[in-house]
Amino acid sequence: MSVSMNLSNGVSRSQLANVILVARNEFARVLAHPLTPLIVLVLAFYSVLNGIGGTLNMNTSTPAESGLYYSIGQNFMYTAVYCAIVALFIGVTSIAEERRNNAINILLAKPLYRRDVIAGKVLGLNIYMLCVIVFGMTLAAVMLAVFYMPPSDPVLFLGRLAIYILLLFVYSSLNIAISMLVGIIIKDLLLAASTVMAYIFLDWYTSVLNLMPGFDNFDPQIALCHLYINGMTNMQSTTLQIGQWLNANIANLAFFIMSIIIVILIGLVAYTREENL
Amino acid sequence: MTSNVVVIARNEFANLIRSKLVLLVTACYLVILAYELFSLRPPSDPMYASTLKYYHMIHSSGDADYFVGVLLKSLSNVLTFYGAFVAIVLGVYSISVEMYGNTLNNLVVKPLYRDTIINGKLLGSILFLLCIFGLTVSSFIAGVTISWGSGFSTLAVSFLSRLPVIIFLSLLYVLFFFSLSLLVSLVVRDLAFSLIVGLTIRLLLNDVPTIQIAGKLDNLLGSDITSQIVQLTPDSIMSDVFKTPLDWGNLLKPSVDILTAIQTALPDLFKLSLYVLVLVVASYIVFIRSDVS
Repeated sequence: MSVSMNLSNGVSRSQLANVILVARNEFARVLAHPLTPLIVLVLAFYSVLNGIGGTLNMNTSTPAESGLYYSIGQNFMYTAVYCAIVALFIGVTSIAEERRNNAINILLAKPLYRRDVIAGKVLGLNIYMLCVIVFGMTLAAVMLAVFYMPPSDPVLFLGRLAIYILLLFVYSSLNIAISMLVGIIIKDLLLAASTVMAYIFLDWYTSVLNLMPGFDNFDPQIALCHLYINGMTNMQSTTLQIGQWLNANIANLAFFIMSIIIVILIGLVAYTREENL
Repeated sequence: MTSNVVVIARNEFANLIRSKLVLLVTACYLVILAYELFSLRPPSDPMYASTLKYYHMIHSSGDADYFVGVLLKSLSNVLTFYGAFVAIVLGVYSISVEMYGNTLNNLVVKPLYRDTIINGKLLGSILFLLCIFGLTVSSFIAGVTISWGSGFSTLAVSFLSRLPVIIFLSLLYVLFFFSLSLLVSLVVRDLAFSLIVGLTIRLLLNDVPTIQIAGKLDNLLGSDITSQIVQLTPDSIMSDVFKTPLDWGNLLKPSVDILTAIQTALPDLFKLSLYVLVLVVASYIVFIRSDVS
């Protein structure tokens, strides 16, 4: 019994090590990509501009707490659109680029389960996105605190920042899952990349699902906006506590996380069943 | 040399028509078109009442003039807004697909000037964009004919008379993004990264005239400098050229003399054409100086 437990622990430990190895490799790949300085520059540009320029007019009157919470909300929306783009592109290239340069054949020849490859890639890309999101939102918060006004209740402000980071993280995670699925199904890199580009374009700039009332929560961008402001909670409010927000939005958040898991599982099934990678 | 350009253009056009990309592009265009048509209410809709009241206070022309303006503005939105996205994909496709398929090597060892290759690809892509525009315009007219019924038949002649100008101006705007992504893909040489750079520039340029960037720059640099910066962007140029159906001297409205309207828009059109020219010349230079691998 103990031998079999040790064996199973050993197997799961080695699987975990494999997943971490793939994740580390994936993280290093995207970190070294020229995409990283590009997104850092874009997010820094919006954060600095919003911090210095966006609040300048408000500074002429008395700075108000409401201005601070409104401005950090604006930064959340900029960060969401650019993080969506980055998440989609790193997700789609994760499989499609390796297929194109035949690196995937080397990877699959190693003693690795395909599910470990996918799990490792998802983990590595999510950690990368978390770093990008934390950078963007923290810089935005610092800029606002320095150039507009420091929050009167730092705990409340940090709590709000934590919710924004959580929202952006689950949204990016869903985008990574969707784009990896696209990369698995569509073998042509250009077509796969164009498909995710069309998706981001349609999602952010037309909100086509608005035409179908009742289905709009199936649109990731609209679902994100519902978590931002809805009938019960408003993230721009100066009094909203983390607990209040969680109580009101836990079902929608769970729906978001379930969607991520479902999309990853579909991708996993498609990837493991695929013979001709 | 001209015949070489035509051969490359024909080849480029044939490649684009055969690619699965066409299905994706067409499908997206139809979705956006459906969305635009759904938002476009017929002239009998009560939502126009207050706008028309205001319109009659400042303009002497009739309702038909206003509604042709509304239709053409709507069509130009579809052509330019989504056209920019298509152009970015096509610009990257033109070069990257050949680099990835190693067919660019075959092309550059032929007795061809490299600028001939760029010109041929540009011409082939323009033909393809015109086909997409043709399909979009036909679908738009069919959609409006069905949803507006007799409301459209009285406007059809005025609408069609302004159509070529709208298509030409939209093509010029879209060519800016095509030549931009062509240049980016020649410099970056990574297909997916070229697309993301093109899309990021597109989104930034889209945000510049809005409160998101211009509103904040205005606070920092003052309105004079900000408005000069904003007027340099293609989106602002197109807003100045097309205006809204309520504005004076709007070339979308049949009552406005087309030649006068174009003459007014000439500095803006020159600016946009210059951008396209500069980007294409920069593409020649980068392509000529680069080693193809």
